[in-house]
Amino acid sequence: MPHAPRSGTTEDTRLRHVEHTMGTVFSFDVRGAGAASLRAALDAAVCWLHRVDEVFSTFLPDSQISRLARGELALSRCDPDVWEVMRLCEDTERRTGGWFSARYDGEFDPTGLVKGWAVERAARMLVSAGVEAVCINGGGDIQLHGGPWRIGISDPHDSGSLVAVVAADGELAVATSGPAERGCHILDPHTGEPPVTDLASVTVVCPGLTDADAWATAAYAMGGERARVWLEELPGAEGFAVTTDGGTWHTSGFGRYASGVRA
Amino acid sequence: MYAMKKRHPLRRVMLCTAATVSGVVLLLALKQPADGSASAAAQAPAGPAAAASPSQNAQDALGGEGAQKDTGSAGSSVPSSGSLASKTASAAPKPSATKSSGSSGSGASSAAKTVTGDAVDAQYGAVQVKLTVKDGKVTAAEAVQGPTTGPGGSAIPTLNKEVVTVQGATIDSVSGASFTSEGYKKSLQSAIDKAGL
Repeated sequence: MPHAPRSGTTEDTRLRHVEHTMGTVFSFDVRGAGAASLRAALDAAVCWLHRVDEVFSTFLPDSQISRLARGELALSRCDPDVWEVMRLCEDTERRTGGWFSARYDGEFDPTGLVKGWAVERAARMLVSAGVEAVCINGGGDIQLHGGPWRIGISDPHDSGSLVAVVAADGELAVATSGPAERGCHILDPHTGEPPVTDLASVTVVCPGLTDADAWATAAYAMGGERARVWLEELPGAEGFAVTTDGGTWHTSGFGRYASGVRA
Repeated sequence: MYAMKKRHPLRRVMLCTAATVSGVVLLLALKQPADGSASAAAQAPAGPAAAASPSQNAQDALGGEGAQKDTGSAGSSVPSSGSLASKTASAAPKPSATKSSGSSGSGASSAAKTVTGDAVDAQYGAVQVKLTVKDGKVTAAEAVQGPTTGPGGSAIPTLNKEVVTVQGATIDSVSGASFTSEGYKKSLQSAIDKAGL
């Protein structure tokens, strides 16, 4: 593991760290605590992500989720985090009218929610440790605290450029869903097929990444006008979308965050 | 290169910092000429020459031999620096590679730095991007290697334009549809992480 940099004053220490886990990459950008405590807090947050992977990975045969699915482990013997995630999945399924679902072929698969939840928790751990500004990007979904931060939204038609910039100062999450980089990994829970949609990507901005990530996934699955109406009515969240023909739309309150949107 | 250069005390200082980002920062030092980004390419050949043994491993560090081959013929200089960065990233953060820092500025926070991402074999050809960072802001982006035809062909100029004008100032992070570890390598986020101050 890399060591803390020796440069930087106490007030303005800034650390960056890149961690590979859960099949993706997590980029940490933290600042505003003593170098030693910043490093310790960062290490703890990184450990947390690996711990989440061990418990929740559907790729690891020995994870609690895998054993739970095979019936080898009773839910009551699972880590309380598993209960929490299960409850969050149920909440999310309800709030999205069934457009987000953690049940795939009848099995509990919380993969669509776990990453955002884990990042949200990791960011909160850092804040609790006294870190003033936190930016964690987990595979394209971002949780922020403090700031100011400027977050670019990737153009789904051209991954090297941006379609919008979100400015944040405080607790805010920015999550984007779409088929762009992974091939379509989102299924319409009603049909079990990739959604028929005119959306190339949907971005949801709200305080916590658990919600932002799951809501973006749900909105993408909904597609088009349904997603737009749903996001517009969703309290505490704003949405921004790029359509397959290259157009964009956003909810009425999105302008509050946007500091630049491509014309 | 020159043994004396290898023992320059400045390098030790730089390398301590480099350890933070697993040696990638070495690349910054490598590409830190006094006159900014323009002469970066000219300086780069010093890297592989100095670190003769690393360059053997450059190929696998880069991931795709195809990419390495392509970039090698295209630029002769810049791709090598990209592979050097990959190499030193996996090596221990001890003074083993060398670089030439154009100016002797130890706290060169205000000098423009350039950072070059790894060459990645994308669907329509190898892609490699160089960012210029000044005072923590991306001031320019340039494709040192990229496809000129097909869907990817238009991406590079767009990147160049967008990074400078849409962002205007610093972009701290990029949100986009989920990427895998593999996809990360060619993401703008990866370039931002490498440019990390």
